[in-house]
Amino acid sequence: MSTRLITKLYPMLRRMLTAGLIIALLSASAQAQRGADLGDALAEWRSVVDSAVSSVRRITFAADPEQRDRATQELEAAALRGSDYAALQLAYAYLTGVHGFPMDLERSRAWYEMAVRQEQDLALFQYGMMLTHGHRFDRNEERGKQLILRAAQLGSAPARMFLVVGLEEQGDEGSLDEAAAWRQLMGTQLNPNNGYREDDDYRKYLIGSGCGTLRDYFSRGVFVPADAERAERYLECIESDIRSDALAETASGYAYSGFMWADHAYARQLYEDALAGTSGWGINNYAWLLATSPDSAIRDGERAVSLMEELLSRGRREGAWVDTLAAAYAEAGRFDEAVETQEEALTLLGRYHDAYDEAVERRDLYASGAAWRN
Amino acid sequence: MMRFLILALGFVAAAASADDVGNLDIYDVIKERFDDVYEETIAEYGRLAEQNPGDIVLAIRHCEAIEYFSYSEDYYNSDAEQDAAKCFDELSTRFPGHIESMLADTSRRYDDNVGSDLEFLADNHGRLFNQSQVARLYLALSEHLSYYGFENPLADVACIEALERDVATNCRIQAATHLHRLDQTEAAIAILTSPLDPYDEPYYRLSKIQFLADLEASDAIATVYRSFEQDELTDYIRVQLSVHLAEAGLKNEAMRVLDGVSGEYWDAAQLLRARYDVAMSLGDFEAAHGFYYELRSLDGWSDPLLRTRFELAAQDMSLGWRLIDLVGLFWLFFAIGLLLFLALIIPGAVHYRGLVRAKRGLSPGGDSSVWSLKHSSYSLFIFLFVSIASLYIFEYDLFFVSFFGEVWEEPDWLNADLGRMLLGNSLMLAVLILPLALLKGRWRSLGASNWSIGKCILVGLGLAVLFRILFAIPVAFSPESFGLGEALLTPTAIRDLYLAYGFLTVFFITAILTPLVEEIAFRGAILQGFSSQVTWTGSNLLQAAIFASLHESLLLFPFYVGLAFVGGVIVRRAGGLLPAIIMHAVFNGIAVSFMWLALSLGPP
Repeated sequence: MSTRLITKLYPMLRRMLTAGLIIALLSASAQAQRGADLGDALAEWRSVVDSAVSSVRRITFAADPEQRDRATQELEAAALRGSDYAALQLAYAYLTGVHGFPMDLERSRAWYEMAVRQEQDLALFQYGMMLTHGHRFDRNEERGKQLILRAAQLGSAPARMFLVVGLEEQGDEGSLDEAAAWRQLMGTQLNPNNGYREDDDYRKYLIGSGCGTLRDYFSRGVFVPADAERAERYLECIESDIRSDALAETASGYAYSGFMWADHAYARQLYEDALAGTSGWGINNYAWLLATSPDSAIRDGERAVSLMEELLSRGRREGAWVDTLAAAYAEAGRFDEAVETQEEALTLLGRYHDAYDEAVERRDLYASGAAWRN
Repeated sequence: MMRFLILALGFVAAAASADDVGNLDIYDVIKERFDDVYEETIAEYGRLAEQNPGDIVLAIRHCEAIEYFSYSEDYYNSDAEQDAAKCFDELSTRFPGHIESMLADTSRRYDDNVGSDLEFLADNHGRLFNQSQVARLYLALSEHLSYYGFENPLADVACIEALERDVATNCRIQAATHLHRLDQTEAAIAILTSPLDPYDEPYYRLSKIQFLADLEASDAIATVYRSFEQDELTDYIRVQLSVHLAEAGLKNEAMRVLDGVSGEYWDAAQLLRARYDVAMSLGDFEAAHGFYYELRSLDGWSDPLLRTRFELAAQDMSLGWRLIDLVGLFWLFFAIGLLLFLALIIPGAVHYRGLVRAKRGLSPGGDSSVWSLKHSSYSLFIFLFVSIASLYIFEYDLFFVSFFGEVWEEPDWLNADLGRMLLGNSLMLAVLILPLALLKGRWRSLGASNWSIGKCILVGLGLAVLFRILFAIPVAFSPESFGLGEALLTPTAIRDLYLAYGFLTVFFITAILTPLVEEIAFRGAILQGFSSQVTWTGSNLLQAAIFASLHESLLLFPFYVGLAFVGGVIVRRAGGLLPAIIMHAVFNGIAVSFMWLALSLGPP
């Protein structure tokens, strides 16, 4: 009886299995198609982001006005496709009138508003600071503070330190608790695998970076009215042993960030101020700027060589530092030494280092008698 | 007319003011119903979007305005709904790959692809989106995963990713759950008591306190409690809060909070129940005793099976009993009698059929002399009794709501310790069923007289794998598509058991003890007891149907019948229970191992 039943059931089971298999295949193929569509959409968006980043670089270091105009059009096109990054760059350019842009506060405001609506944290902070201090735009403290708070919630170190200092100045119990919570949040990471992890060095670095940026804002007067006294107060919120590093970090922001406010001359000035007390990485970053800046007025191969030789004579040989020394030799026209030093840098970096391929390109460039440009 | 003017002016002020443009949220701006200005409102958003051609957020607000009004009763027309859909479609053409447009799209869709789309975006966000966008992406993913399963750890993981990028993300209780799971209880408490949490609403604070009570974090409970303003303490909050404050040892605060209950919106029974809980938490059994009898004197609340009274007796034997408890004792004996009666109905019918067949000169189908109908009745009774007893002992709220419907408060399904209930259930079954197979030489039936051990293993293994694949078919194609969305107790209980007692325990219970006990009862006592009266095929179908009905799933019912029926067939062929035990053990073992792999290899 049971054998008969199974024999009868078998064709039905076979049909069910076949139907199940077909449905599973169709569903998998639909999923794959969907994934491919999303992948295409993201690739298109990636091209917008890349075009914005590249156009900012070309605007900042353009050799001729025509090239800058083309890059500007490209940047505006990226902003019109919804890039918050491009909107922020345009907002800054129209705010300050740099790189041939006209100073136009209404256009600047419109671009800031667009970036702020997408909650771009730098835009939130810069625009929030200007509204809070009534600088360049009409004062609107309430909204300005909201924007700064939002930037802090999204992890902006200067926004967090601005709140911390303000709350600590208020001094009541609730404000102090809140300030302590913001400080606690700096340098802690919430990770799904490890949970809550604290790192004191990272906290020190973030506080340094946050306060360093605020000091810079108050000393340059771009986003807030220049206030030397307040600028110094922000220097004091950085622990004394890392103040030079914080300064060098601010300098690196002007030297290497992909923003419209990149300014190698100002970066050089900041590096010089930080040089006496900064760590090896600060010196290395400065020497790299001196060796590779596209601006010939900034480049100084001999100074870069002397800085790096002095740094490496201390005994520690980082691959990236040796790489910088090689670039400095090349800028100074000492190509044989550059190639030899770059070989050592390649050995120290190792085949699997992210910068290895670019370092090989540099070695070949030095061998052909040319220097590297950042 | 005046109302129209005020509303119109209010709208124009809200929408056109340049300062407010940054806060332009359709649902904030249209808190009031702008009944008369639908077109104007949509046009205003359209104008703003047009004036800012690169501003995707304004473009989304415009589409949301159209969609919002398309749902309005006064304004509704199918054109508006189509306009909204068209508007959102245009967004993805104008801003291809933009995360804001994709987030707006996924928040509006309810199809099965939403989850995979969000996961794809989360895996590929790289440096393409800003912090806020990535945080909102993870929050959307977390909400999506939560929607498809309570207490989904993957949803908590996504919440952590969101919270790390944006401290204002509203999922702190989920994040704390995850940290607690990682044994970081202090961090979990800190995250719930952080002054940086921008959400500050009484019911949210109450949820935090409920979570903190599970962590036994008295100081943190006191901190959150202090942030309540007097006028925020509704009756509901007071009653809930008082219990947690009492559990945290904050006796004075608990009593003060409870004394403030106005009773205006609160049922007297619920209030008494809260007083009882508070008194129990504070160890004031005398007071709890008083509240208990006050409760029993009220209509709408009773303790028919005396569980609460037994709880009191366990705490303090000197507390007196009252006449009304006799009613409880009567119900207790009545319930046990009812179970016995239920366990006799089916064997009774089988016996009657056996008598009719004997009268007609037909012989019974079975060939076993060791199991009789009394063993079938005993096994059935034990399965019924233990299922109910384990609920009664370990999850009384679930028991009460399952059998009596009325309960003083909704049982806390999420916090129910179903793992402990499953463990108790399995051990009780083992103690009461295993002797059945071991006494009077019946242990021989555990082997296989016609088959070699190798053959038993081979057949058991092969069938288990086959059935596992068959069972995967209805599960793989979402149950919702069958209209049979089921909330099953057993898988949840197995997962709880694993989380509380580890893999070895859950493997022992589900892949060794349960198959042994169930095969002895169903393919042993019930099948062979029935077949001593009626045909063997009939007996096999009957035991398979009973077996399947005890596995709660309507969707899988036919599959369980098949599994049990084939179990019966191989037991008869092999001349013993061994191949069926192996099949059942491997079948359960595969399921529980996959669950273990999913929970331990996946994100915590």
